[in-house]
Amino acid sequence: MSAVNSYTQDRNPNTNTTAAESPAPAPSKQPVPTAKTVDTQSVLRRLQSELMALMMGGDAGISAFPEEDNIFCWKATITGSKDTVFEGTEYKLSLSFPPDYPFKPPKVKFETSCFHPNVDLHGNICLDILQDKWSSAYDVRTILLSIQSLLGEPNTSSPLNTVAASLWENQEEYRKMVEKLYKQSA
Amino acid sequence: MEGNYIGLFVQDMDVVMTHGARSHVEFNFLCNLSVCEYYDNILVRFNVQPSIRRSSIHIYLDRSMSHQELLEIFDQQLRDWPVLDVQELDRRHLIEAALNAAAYLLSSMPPRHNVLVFPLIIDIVSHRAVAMEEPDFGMVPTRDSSIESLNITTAKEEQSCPICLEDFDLGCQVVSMPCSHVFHEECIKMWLRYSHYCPLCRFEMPTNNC
Repeated sequence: MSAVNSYTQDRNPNTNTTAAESPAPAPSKQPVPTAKTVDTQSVLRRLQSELMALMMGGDAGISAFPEEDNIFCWKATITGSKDTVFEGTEYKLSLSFPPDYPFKPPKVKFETSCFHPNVDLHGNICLDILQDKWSSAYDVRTILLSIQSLLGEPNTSSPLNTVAASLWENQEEYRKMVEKLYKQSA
Repeated sequence: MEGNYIGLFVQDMDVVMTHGARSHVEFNFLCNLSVCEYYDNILVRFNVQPSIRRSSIHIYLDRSMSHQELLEIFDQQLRDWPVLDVQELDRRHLIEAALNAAAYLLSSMPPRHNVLVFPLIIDIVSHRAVAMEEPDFGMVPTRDSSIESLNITTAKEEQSCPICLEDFDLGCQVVSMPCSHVFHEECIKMWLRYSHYCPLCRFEMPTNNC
């Protein structure tokens, strides 16, 4: 007898492989094991409240909205701040929220390619607040504002894109590169 | 977390009965496979597999077989049952359950309805834990004893919880952290099981390591 079997029997002492005389409830309605569970309703409420705040807030240069049929996946845009090499460019990002948001950070990726020391070729972002420095008090708005300021103030000491990191010193050349790649991706 | 849940269901509404000698029982097995995926004990995906396999077993009851003989027939017929990860013990349980269901239905049949077709539906639900990349994101939880000894008070002023963003109901239980930041009791306790920092000021709570 394997561990799998004992697990099955422990959890379903009455229903495991028993014949029911009447149609039995669908197995999908089996109770989900409870441990560190976050109530889905509260995650939904929090995401809806963030959406409201974003729509009312009207921050310049950032926007975000859930995908059509899935409030756990959002699309966002960030525009490059004035007086940075990213001025005049706009980037699309995707955010996917874990089922225990906001206790864990959403996964945030650039969908438009972004030439930046802390963004890799697949759009993954290296930003501490999306990893070990995550706080449950952060939200979509603070994430997007942080990424927006990361654009102008990269951390060049531990880069994902080493080419971008070494070019960063020469802002004029960097600006040309950003413009060239941005035109290609547009 | 990982494992199978197997249920055998008899849809007695669909049992086909015809007049005649009680000589023939047909068991129609239908196998539904589905996979539940969990992340941190939370159901994140429920997939019904496209593969559904039918198999029929005919038994002539006038041979007056023993329970053991019936078991053997079932066992043979279901030997190549294509289900994923079904353990031998589970298979045995399935067969036993099918026979018990048949015995129950046979005993409750009106006398002149004797040829039976039993649709038996087997639902096999695989439970799997799925790992996500960097599941803990390098966060270090607060020591349990420190979570338990948090200072609980009642909400006084009109404020909202920085974690769920909802307003405090007046008089509801809230936690005031050592740094004086206030949260819903449930919200902050959940957060401190992930992290040892105050969500607002990064005040450090004790961990199991110090």
